[in-house]
Amino acid sequence: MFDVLVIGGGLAGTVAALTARGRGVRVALATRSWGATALSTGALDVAYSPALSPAAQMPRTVAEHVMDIVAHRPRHPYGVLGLEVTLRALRQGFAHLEKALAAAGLAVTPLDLEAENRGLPSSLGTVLPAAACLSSHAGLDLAKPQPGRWGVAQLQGAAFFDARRVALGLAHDALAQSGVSPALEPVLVAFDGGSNPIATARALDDMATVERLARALRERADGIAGFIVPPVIGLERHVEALRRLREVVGVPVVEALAHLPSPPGVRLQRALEAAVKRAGVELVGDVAAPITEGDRVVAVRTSDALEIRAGSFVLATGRFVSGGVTWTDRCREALFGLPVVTELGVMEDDSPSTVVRESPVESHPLLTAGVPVGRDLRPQREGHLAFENLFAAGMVIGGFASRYALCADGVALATGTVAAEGALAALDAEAA
Amino acid sequence: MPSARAGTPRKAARKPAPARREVDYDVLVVGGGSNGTGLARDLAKRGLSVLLCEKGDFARGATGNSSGMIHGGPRYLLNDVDTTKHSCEDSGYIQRIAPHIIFRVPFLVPVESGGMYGKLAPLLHDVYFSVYDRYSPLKNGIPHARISVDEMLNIEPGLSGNFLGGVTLDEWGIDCGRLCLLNVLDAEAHGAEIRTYTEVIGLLRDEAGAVVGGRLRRTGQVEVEEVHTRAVVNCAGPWAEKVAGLGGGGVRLRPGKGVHLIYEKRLTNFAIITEAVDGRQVFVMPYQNETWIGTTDDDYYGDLDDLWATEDEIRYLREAIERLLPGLAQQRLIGTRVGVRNTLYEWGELEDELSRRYAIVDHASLGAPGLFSLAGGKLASFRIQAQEAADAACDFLGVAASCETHLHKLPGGDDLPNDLELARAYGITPLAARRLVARHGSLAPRVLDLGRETATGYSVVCPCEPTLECEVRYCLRNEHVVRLGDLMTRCRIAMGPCQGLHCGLRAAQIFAEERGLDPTSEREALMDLLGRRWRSARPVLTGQQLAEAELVMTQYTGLWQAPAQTPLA
Amino acid sequence: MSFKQLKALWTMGLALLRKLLILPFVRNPGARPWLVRMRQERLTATPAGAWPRLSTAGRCIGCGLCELAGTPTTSPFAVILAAGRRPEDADLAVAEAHVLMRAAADIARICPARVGVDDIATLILDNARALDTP
Repeated sequence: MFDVLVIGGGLAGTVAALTARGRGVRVALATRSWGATALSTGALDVAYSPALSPAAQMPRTVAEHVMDIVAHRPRHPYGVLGLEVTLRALRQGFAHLEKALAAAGLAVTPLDLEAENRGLPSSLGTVLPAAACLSSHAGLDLAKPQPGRWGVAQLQGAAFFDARRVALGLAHDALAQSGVSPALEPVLVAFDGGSNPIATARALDDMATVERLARALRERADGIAGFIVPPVIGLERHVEALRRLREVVGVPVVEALAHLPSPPGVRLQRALEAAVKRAGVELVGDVAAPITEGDRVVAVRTSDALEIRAGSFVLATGRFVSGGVTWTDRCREALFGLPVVTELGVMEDDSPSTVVRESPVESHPLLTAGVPVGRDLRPQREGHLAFENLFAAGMVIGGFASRYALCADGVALATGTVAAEGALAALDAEAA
Repeated sequence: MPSARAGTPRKAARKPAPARREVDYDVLVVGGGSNGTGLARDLAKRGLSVLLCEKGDFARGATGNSSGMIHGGPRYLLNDVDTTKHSCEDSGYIQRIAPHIIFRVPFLVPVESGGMYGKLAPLLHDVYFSVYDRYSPLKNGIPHARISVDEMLNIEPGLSGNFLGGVTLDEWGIDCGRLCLLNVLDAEAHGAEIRTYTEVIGLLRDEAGAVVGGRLRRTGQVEVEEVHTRAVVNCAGPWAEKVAGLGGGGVRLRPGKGVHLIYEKRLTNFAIITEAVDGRQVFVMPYQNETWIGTTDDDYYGDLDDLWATEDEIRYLREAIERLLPGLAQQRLIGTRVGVRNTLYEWGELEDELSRRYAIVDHASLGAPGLFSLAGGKLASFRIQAQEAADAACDFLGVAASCETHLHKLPGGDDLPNDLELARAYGITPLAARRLVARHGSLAPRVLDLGRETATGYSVVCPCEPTLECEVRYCLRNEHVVRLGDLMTRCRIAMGPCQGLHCGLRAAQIFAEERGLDPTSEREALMDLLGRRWRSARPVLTGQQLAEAELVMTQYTGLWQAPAQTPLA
Repeated sequence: MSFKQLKALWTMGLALLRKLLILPFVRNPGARPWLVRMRQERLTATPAGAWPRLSTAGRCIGCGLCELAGTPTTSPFAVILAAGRRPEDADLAVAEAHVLMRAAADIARICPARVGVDDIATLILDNARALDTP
């Protein structure tokens, strides 16, 4: 018997579990396999939402972007929570995350909501706005003018990171965002880049290999203010590898944000798992089905046919990639069968063509599908509360998509925190 | 932006211009499908100077969305045995000239109980195909078999129904996109000029009303170029009526919309035929490393350039085939193929019966001498259709040369290299070698030689095939790739389950490097590719393909300006 | 009815007659010769139990995380996305299928799409066996 059972071990579920555990209650975390968190780029997206109304001032600070979302997208989780709660929960959730990751050996930059989004270089050759990131990606903010020549490292044979195209793309975006064209050039590095980022990252868990890469970079470091490298500097021993690298090379070395497959995503996911274990959260396996009595969830049945009872439940199962929301005959939340909504409201789901637009670049309602929630993040079914003691966090909540407001991690942090608070409050209420 | 292609072919000497006027080419061929490209090749081989204009990319219309079968026409056995015989003959020619891009498709024809002929049905099927067996050797067919229900279920355990037995037969499938490309490459080798993304927007007429050329416009540009030719042949497929209209009319079509659904792997080696709720024949068939179900046939009055599969069409096909193969309901749909048939118009007859007919229209009788139209027809008979059109054009031009398209192989059709040897020689996987040979045939080593140029030459660009970087570069340099999306039919980039998640980015980077593009153009190119996949996938964006789309959309955030900001409704 | 149609029906009718006459004397060889011929071209029957496996085998969305379970010589990603897509290529992936089978449990812990990795391996091995059996 547990007090709180969190279903889903990505960023949202982990923050919920850690928050609940912070109160000293018995917390269990049920996980199936990895999801969107393990596929993230290394950035921590909180809010980037260019103004919707033409006359409006372009938001500057992260907090202003959050305000913009709250004002214009009421169904977005930030809108549902309201500005004050969102900002508070973001800070709290981030604090938990920072502490947990530090204990697991992975550093993140601070989250300053009163600062502007940084402009981080990505492996696609784009400058992506992000509020914070894993530390290995910090050190070069291309949203601001950058002096000096930076080298984009071409590891030999690494087709997954085309330094020439990345340099061109970054310079193009940086000019648009900062008004100044940075001096970025591809630099051929005498080091075998391997055929996929994961294999290369694993190879760089070996410090001798790191030394070789470091020396190869240093050979090309003349006149260079810093290097942008593909995000492959180690996996398990990433922190040590990066430190060693930076020491030997002598100039800043910044990892680009990743595309798939993503070593930073793997590092983040593993660090979250370590943090959860360290905090004394009990890990249980895959949930096959919930067990409900009336308007309460009383337990879940795992795939091994174990019954796990808890006082409150947090649903953090993600969206389509992880299978928290599925479309077989109809679009539904997968575990409880809850109906879903999009950022436009209730979904007409007879055919994908009605909720997907004709051009891929447009905003697709279907990609914002998830469970509707109230202010306390309890899922609703046809306007009523689905269950007294069920709370939702992360991408399983409908009304937003990370692509449209670069906010996935912020939503995970804020809703993970608030969902846990709700779950704890529900325990108190039941006890009373 | 024009690219420098390696090995620009030498143009054959132009025929002396007739006394009256100068011409730029002997013949302007309108349309880059199987008819147009087949005709360009035929005419070029006969020594004429040819300009082929295609407003999009090759095989973009009926050809590229057809069922891809070079069949022997068994269905005509009850109407005209000679049609079947000639179809088998022609299928045989096509095999001989393009052995690398064709593949054998075994068929299962389940005979269900409760039909018109009751228990006699298996026997009657047996007799039917025994007659087909007389002609199928012309196309290297294998004699059919009459099989028991048990045998049939052993061959395909997924079958469900009340069967009396079945018959087997085999047909041939072809890679239609590569077919058109190979026709074009061979035409070029004989001096033809090929322009894609160039639309014929008007015809030039002289004082007497003769058609003496065309007015061309490149997609996205305003300038119109005039070319003078001695003849114009309209092979524009579903658009043939429109093109004929530029010369005063003379072609009437009954466009029939046809949809296939695509599953992400080859689920079965066998094509299986069944009946839909309205009695039409529908089928499941393997195509390379996909599976298709199809097809529909509905009169279409809409925009030929904006085709989408509808929910009704999807439901119709799924219900029909899932009745026969219930396991299909759980399989992963990755897209749709939608095309319009260029069927000749004959009011009142049922759609299916109009299918094979084609016509060579000489517009002289309509006051536009010099204009010909090749209207109607099927992919399977493209070569003979092109031959007859070429004959008509040559008669008009007073050229005596006869057709040789059935005698000579298309590029890459010579002795096929051994996959394992190729793999060993170039250090690539045997599977990559096998897939490469299936596209480039005897030219595969030339493609692989290109890999030596760069450190990443043998890296995998599209993991679903797999397609290697050297093949992408080869196609970009030699195979008329104007837009990134054209690579889909050249080397199957983005055609697999990943739908561009991996290959899209890399292909765009290689494209940008080869063409010297700036980042904005590079991103537009990627958008072109993703847009084409989107058109295919959107109507069936459910199940795992929805998860795929979520991943693709998230990965490419930032590549097109800011995150999408469509105002809420 | 046209002359051609008459001729066609005549041909069919004669064939039917011929069939009926020789039927008592000639045994129907059934599927076997045809299957042997197809197998020479690497076109084999669908293995028993394939269909449920095909659906779990088809779930891959290409995220690449399974590379974590790879070895220096085998990329699970490459096998899952490409090698399993045609039965006739199964013979090229037998060694990889065994690696996949051993890695299946590890991959199950990380694969977001919950691909049936063991199902892919089984399909490859079943199809390879069918290719091998005359």
